[in-house]
Amino acid sequence: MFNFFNEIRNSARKIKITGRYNLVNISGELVYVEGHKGITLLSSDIISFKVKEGRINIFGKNLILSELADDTLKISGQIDKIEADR
Amino acid sequence: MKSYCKFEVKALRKEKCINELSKSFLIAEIKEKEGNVLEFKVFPNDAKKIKKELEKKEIKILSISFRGIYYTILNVLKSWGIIAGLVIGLAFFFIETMFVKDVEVWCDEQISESEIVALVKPYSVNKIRSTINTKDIEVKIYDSFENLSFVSVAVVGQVLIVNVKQEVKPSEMEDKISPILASDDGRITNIELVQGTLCVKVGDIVKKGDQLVMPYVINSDGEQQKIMPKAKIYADVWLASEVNHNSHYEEQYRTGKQVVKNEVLLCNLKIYDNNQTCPFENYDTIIKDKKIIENNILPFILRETTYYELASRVVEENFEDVKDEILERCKENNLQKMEEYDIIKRENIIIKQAGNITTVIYTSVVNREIGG
Repeated sequence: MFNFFNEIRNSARKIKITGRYNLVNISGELVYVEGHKGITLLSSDIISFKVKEGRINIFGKNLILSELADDTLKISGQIDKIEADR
Repeated sequence: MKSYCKFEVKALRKEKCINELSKSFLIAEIKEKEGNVLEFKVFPNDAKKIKKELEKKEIKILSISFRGIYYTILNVLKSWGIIAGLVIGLAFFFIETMFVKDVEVWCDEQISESEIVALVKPYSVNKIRSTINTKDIEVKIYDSFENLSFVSVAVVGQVLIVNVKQEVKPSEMEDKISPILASDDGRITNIELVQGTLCVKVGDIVKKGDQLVMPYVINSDGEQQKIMPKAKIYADVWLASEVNHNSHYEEQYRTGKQVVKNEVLLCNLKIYDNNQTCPFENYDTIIKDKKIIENNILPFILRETTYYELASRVVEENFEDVKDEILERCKENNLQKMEEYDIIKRENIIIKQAGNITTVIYTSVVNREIGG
C-alpha cells in the first residue's frame, strides 16, 4: 500500500534518517503525529509529547488534543510553533 | 464521531491517565479544564471498559454522558413525559375514532339533503359506532319521506353514509305524457307508428308545434286509454335563407386623421388630463386602459382615447359582379340550418329585384324526422 512517509524517506536517500516518528503540520491548524510515546504536558497553550529521540513541544492557542491513540495523535487549534528537544 | 461517550474526570496526573487509556482505546477531543478536570470522548462501546479502568486507577469520574442520534432517541424514549403524552394521545385518538362525527348524504336532486341530515343526526352524530342501528335509521328515513325506492345507511370510519334513491315511476303513471309535436314545418313523407293515435297522414303539410300523435288509444270497449305515444314521423322540410344586395349605398370610412386623449385615473377618479378635445365632426373612438403601476395598492390607470375622423362615400356595386359570391353566402347560411345526416332532395334559387335592392332566396328540401 502507498505510504506517504516511506515515499519521502526513499526520495531522500542521501540523508540518513534514524528517527522513528513522523509529524505533519497542516496549515498551522492541525498537526498529525505518528510514533509518539505519550503525552507529557497538556494545556490549551502547550501540548508536549515524547518521541523516541526526545520531546516535541507544540505551542499555540486553543489547542485541543483531537485524537489520541497508542501510536498516533492529532492536535487542532492555532499552531504557532513546533519545537523538538533532543 | 457521530455517537460518542463523553467523560469528565478529575485527575492530578492527567497526562499519565490519558496516556494509559490511549494504549487500549482511541480517545478524542481531549480538553483540559480548570481544577485538574479533563474532558474527553470515546466510542460508546469502549465506555464500560474505560469506566472500569478509571475506577481501578481510583480516578474520580465527574460525569459520563452519551451523545448521538441513537442516544438522543433513547433519551427521548426514556422520557416519561413524552411517553405519557403519546399514550394519552393514542388513547384519545382511539376513543375519538369510536364515535361518528359526520353525516354524508348521497341522493338525487329532488330529495332535500338537509332534511335527511336533520333526521339522521340525533341518532348518529357523537354516538358510539357500535351502538348505531343502521336498519332502524333506514326505516325512519322510509317513514319520513315518500316515494323512495332505495335507502341504505352505513358507518364508514367516522362518517354515517346515507344513500337514498327516489322512486322512478313510468311516465304513464306520472300523468306526464304528452302528444308528439312536429319539430319543423314540412310535408309528411313516412310514418312508423308504434303506439298512440295518429293525427296526420302521409302528404299532410304540418307547421312546427302541430300535434302528430295523441297520447291515447281507443280500446275495444270504445274507451280512451292513456298511453305514451311512440312513433317515427318523417317529412320533407323546407329550409330557406335570404341575402339582400344593395347596388347603391353610403359607406363610412376612416380618413386617417386621429387625435389621442390621455387621462390618468386613480380609482376611476380623473387626476390628470392632457386637455385634448376631439376636433372632428364625425368620428369613432377606441379606449384603451393600461395599468401604470403593477400593484393593487396604487391602481393608477392610463386611459388612452383615440378619435378617428370618419367621412362618408357612395359605393356602387353591380349585382352581376357579386352574384356568385352572394349565392355562395346564401348556400352557406342554409347549410348552417341543416342537421347532421340531412340529405338535400331539391334546391331552388329565387332572385327578386326592387329598386337598388336585389334579394336572393335559396331554398332546399331535406327529409328528416320531425316527431318521435
